[in-house]
Amino acid sequence: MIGPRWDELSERLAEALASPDPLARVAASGDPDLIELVAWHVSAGGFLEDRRERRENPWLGRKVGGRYRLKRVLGRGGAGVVFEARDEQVAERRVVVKLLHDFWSSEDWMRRRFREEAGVLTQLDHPGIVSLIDAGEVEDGRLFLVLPFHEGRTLREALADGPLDAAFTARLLREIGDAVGYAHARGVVHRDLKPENVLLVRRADGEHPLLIDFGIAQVADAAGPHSTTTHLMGSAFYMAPEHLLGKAEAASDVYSLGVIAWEMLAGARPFESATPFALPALQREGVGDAFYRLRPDLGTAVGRLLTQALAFNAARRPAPVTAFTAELADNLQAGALDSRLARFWVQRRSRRFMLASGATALVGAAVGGWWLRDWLTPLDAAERVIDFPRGDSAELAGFGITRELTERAIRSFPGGAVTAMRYLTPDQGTLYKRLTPQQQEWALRRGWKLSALCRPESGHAGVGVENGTSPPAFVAHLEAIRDGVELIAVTQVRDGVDGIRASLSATSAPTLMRLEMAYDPVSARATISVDGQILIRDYAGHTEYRGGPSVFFAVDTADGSMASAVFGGLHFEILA
Amino acid sequence: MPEPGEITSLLHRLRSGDRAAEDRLVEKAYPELHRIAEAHFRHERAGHLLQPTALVNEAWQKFVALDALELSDRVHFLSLCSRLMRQILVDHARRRATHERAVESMRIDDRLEADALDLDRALRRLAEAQPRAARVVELRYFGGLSTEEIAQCLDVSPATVKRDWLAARAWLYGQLYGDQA
Repeated sequence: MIGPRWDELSERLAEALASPDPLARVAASGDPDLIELVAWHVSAGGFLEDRRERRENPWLGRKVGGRYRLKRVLGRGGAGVVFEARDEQVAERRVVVKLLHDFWSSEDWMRRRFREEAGVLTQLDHPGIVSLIDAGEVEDGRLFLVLPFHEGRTLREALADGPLDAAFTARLLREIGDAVGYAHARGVVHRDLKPENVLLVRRADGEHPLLIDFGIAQVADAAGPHSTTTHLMGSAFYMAPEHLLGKAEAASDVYSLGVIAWEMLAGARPFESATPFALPALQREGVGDAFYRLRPDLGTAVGRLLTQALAFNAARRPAPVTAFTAELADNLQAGALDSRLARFWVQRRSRRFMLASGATALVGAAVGGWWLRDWLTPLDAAERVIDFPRGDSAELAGFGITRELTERAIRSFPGGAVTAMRYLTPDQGTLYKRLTPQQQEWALRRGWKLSALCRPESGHAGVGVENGTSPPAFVAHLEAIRDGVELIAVTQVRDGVDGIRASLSATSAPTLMRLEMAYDPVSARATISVDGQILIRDYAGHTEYRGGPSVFFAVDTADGSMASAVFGGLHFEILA
Repeated sequence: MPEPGEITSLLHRLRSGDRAAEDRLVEKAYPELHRIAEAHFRHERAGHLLQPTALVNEAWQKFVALDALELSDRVHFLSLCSRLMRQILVDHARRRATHERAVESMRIDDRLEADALDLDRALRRLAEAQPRAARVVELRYFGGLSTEEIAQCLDVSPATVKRDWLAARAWLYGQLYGDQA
């Protein structure tokens, strides 16, 4: 790559970064050098960028457009920063200011795109679409947009607790469909519908959806040092096949709404894959009757509509979008009587819990008797256990390793036996082993135990089990803090890791700690212990990890500097 | 500490083709850069590799008031400093690696040294094939120069500097971490 093609590739990289989804943009090119370069860019995070400047943002406290004083950073990306600001000319009202980086502000195409998108917003006047207050240029030529500030949560945040109530889903989808249909009628395709881009604004009569980011926030999310692979994938999962291959049309928005509706009702997306390149193949394969099997209580019509919306061929999807969302909403309201039971079922697909609570007959009637036969199948010991023996590398243990993570062997003495592995990452990295569908079922039904020897040196060292569908992921982190180590049962990873915390006694000795987690399917809760002592009980997990069912170790940066952790093996066992 | 006037006149001599002026400038700048860097190594347990720009800026402020020189002088001087700073970081990493190779320590510092050396190796490879792109990285990462300053220094357009930076950064990341997947 660093040969005669340098100038061409660097030009094409810069072009790709101008699109909302650089990897998707180059995926279809079939040019492995280019795809690799873009993938490296996306993975590189803040590599070699000056972190000090980012922390002490020089714009805070300054005024743009002569009236909007920047108060706090809401988000940032490679192309710009999003601030909360006060409009000093109108009663100190709260507004959102999006400021393009100077790095991009001198690029004609980026300026053009920024202005085009501002133009789109001024054309659209709908209660379900965010409005544009102002736009302009600061002294040094950087462009900015001003949007109203809304209190509320994103649909993504609402989905953190699992599937949503069917009647609520019906109302939201109907209103989102109206807003998207309004835009379509004016020739505007959203192109990036996903739960992150739907704000649920609280009004007197409940929450109402507001579409944000008609491409504009992509300026902040798209191309840059901060966007990560997961971030990018967040968008790709909602993109129609023709959009992934480069061309979005109105039917692409219908597809995205199909994925969103699926997630609102089933708690997980129809397709998951490790890279965006694998998505079109999955999309071509289709979903079959998968939705009906997940939510039989909603009847066949809902499943059929979602299957149609997710059709690989854009021409086969329902149109116009309002007809799709209205019919879906009508059928959801018809089926809403059963939704509480179904939600219960989808959230806690623990057969033992069902049996214990006497709900067997109801659930059995809803989903058929197949699960009962399954329950009686004896477990093969070799299938119950996943091991990463002490001293093995990821390769030896058959674990996948994400490219953000570097593995280095630690030896007892130079040339001696490998006793552990040190993992380094500038961002976030994971070692994982996928659970087979059978293992996933067993783990949920019979419970599991996970133990690992580990020590965080900088940042977080974590282990976890991702259940895959609606029951949440269970993740325990050890965090290196100034005077020792803190244990965290993770409940949130966005905007920094958070969860139930417990302090460990200070230890300066470089010893590995034994971190153990045990999941009880009856209560659907886990306990976490360190070196044999139980520190956290009744941990209900969280729903943000969506990498597919797996057992994993993870290393995370805590503050943007390099994260480092030592692991001396891992053992996962499904209870017999 | 050299006088601001001396730096300016050395830079003027350098621009008029006097190579001896460069040696003299290095002689002036190196000890100061080195001293500042060492002070940071002692106090910043981790992360010094991430902050060479700050070191060079600190050195710069010690030498001359920011506006005492013409822009072109500043650019030349920082360009020189960026090269020196890269050398200092690499020397430091090598020294540490030699001292501590025998000890399998469980400390976090050692990885930074490894990274400094890995980055240096990757930059050398880049410099062989794409000298301009390697220079852009050196000036931006080790010297803290802005896109405009780099463009002026290398006598190319700012657009070229940006493209080189994006591609080189991605490529370097791939060399350091990309094969781990």
